[in-house]
Amino acid sequence: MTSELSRKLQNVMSREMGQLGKFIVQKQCKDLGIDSEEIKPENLPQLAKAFSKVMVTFGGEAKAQNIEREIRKLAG
Amino acid sequence: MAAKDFAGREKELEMLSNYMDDANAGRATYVFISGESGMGKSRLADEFTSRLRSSAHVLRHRNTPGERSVPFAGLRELLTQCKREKVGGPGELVKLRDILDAKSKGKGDLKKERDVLQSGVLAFFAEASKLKPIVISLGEVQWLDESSVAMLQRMVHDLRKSRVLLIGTYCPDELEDSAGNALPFTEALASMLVEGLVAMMPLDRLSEERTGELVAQRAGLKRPDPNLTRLIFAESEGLPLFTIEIVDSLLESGILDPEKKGMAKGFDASKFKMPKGVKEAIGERLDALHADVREVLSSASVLGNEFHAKVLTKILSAPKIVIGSALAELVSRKLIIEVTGAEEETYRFAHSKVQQVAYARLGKSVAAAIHAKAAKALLSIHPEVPEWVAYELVPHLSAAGEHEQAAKYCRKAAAFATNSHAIEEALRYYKMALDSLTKVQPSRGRDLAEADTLVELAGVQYSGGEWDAALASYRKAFAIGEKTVEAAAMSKASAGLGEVLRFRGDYSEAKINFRRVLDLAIGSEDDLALAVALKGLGYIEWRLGKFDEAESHYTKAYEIAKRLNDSVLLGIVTLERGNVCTARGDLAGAERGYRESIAFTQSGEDAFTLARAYNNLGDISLQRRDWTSAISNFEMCSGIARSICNHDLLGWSLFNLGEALAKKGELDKAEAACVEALAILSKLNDRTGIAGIHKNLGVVHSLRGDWKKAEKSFSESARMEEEMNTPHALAETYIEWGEALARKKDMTGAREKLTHAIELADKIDAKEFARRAREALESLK
Repeated sequence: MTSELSRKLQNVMSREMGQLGKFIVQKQCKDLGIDSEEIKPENLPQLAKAFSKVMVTFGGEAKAQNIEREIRKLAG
Repeated sequence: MAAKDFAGREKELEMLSNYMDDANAGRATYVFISGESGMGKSRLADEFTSRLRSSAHVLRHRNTPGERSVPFAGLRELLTQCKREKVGGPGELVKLRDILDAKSKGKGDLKKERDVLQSGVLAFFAEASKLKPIVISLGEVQWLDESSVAMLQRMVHDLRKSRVLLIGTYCPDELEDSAGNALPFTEALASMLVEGLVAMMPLDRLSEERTGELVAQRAGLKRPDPNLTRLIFAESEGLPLFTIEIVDSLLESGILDPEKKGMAKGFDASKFKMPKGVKEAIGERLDALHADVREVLSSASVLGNEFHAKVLTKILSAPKIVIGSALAELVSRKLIIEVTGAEEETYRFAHSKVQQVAYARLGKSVAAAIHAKAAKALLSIHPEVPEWVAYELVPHLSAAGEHEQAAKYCRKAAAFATNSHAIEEALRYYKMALDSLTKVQPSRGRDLAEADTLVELAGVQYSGGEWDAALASYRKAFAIGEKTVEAAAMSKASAGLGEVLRFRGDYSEAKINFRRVLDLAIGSEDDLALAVALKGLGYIEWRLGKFDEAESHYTKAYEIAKRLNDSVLLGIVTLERGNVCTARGDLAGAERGYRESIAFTQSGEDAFTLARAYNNLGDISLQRRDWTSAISNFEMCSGIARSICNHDLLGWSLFNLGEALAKKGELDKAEAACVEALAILSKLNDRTGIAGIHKNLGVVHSLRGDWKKAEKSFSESARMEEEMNTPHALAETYIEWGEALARKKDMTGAREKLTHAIELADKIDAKEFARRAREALESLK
């Protein structure tokens, strides 16, 4: 079953990229050796940085920085 | 002057111009425009490419959902455009023709063949773009078939320093199939994005001001009308397609009058009912059509986003002239567009949404009936069923519920896909065929069709390197054969099992299967199956060192093949009989076998066996120390292996060629052959071959007097052979190493290596090597 944190992260990325968001999470997690269904709070900084890079291509620097901040805060 | 349906995208046009500058400077760029349906993605790409005029070659293709099942549909179209518009110089055009004509030659590894084909395409674009930049506009990339996606991914990775700009468009809410799984393009895009290889351009909706500009353009007004804009923007919310549909609807109903520069007199905005969405707006336009014209459009929607007038005419009962005038009206109403440059009269829906709305309004049973008519029409126009017709028939027959026929054409489509190196599509078509068969009433005929499909599927799985899956499919086919007591089905499945198992080295299981084929063939008097079984058994006995048994099987197989006048089988049997002679040390018998094999296969029906025969003949020449003949045979083999894209065979023939050239003293050529072989076999991780090449390079370096390099190569060869525990190969390396040291006058070193070689050869009873090593050791004295 998908963890709460995984679900939250997928929601953020889907909001920004549509259906592609889910697959970006899967691909990025796979590359970083993280289980995309079991994302843990300690994975967030690494993932935030990685997704921010992707977001630069998608929506520019400012949007990327916002996403990075939002992902870092997901653990609450 | 801008077209009548384009406004408000200046920022995006400028960005595309910047990407074009990058491409012009030799930095290939891949940009993907995304946006919901009707956002104007394709329109933006078209506007940009039309402004390029003659400064670049522009290739265009818009994918459709149906093309997801057509292998290389988009690529084929793009390459055909290249050929038509003479993209590249004469050399590139020749290469292009070869690429377009390429068909799988069989017997090789399908994936490797495809790899070579892809390299050819990339080399073509790289070379041709040197003369003039190439812009590829690919619409709706989410519908790309799996083989084209693989090609695109390779292009993005490997074609970085070329004057190429690729503009792809996709709809972000069409990236999954109905089960929520990623489409092939989705996974590729996610991967390319994460790797930072592509640029993205998400399109936003138009502002009210930009919507006003678009309304004015579409309606032919000199300047935007604020009231009209407000009214339309409130409904369209800046979606360009919706805006256009509303304007067209207003124009058609006479509410909007460009002559009077705005709304018709007496128009009351508060009473006017705006459509609630794009679908409704399109629906209203369809409702406004005359029933005959609407019927033409509805039937066309069944044929897909693009359709041939000829097929449409066959489906409809109306006279040609009525259909022709309906099509003309649909064009004038901008619901469809005539495709220019097509070989036959072809139309495309102005937007995929128009086709979707028209199709959805048909209802399931009416749509199914038209699908059935479409299949019938295609078969009557193209009774020979060319490749594209096979692909088109499958969805029509499935939607019509004609599952038996659907399975039949799925198998045909799969065979075409295999021939075009589209392995994934071939596998999918076979699986679709099996799925269709589950919907057919149970019968013996249905079961046998399933068994045949499974055997064909297994063949592709085997050629694609999926050996476990192939074994499972063959086993299922065998089980069906057993259940239906059908000897032919059991025989085909067992022969396939034997073939895969023997290549796996599982000789006892392979033997059981070939024996079964033999028994079944005797019972059913199936001579061909009998010969295949005997050939398989001959191979196994040869591998197990039982040469008399092997020879006996091969001789029987030869007699049957001769009676059947089957030159392919004769080529294989004589070659493998030659191998038995080689193993026995009967070089004359071996040579006879290989020459016979060449005679049977040189007509070109089985290039793989022909190449093997030349390679083995070269080996005989090597053993006889006839270097010139060895070189000529290995060159023949490598030439054929190259043409059928069999890398393994190419690597080995080059490796052997390197040895023969070195022995003849042609050291530069020998080194070049070894280096190429090393690159090929390293890619395949063929360690036996790699070790052998290092040995050959050791010989080359020592003959040049480059002792340092020679020492390094021999050491590497010996290290690998020790690691792999292959004493036979290691003994040979020590002999060559010892002889090299003798040339260097290092007698102590030479003695040490040769003594070691003798010990190894004696241990495994390799008489020939032991004799050679002793002779060399003796000569040191």
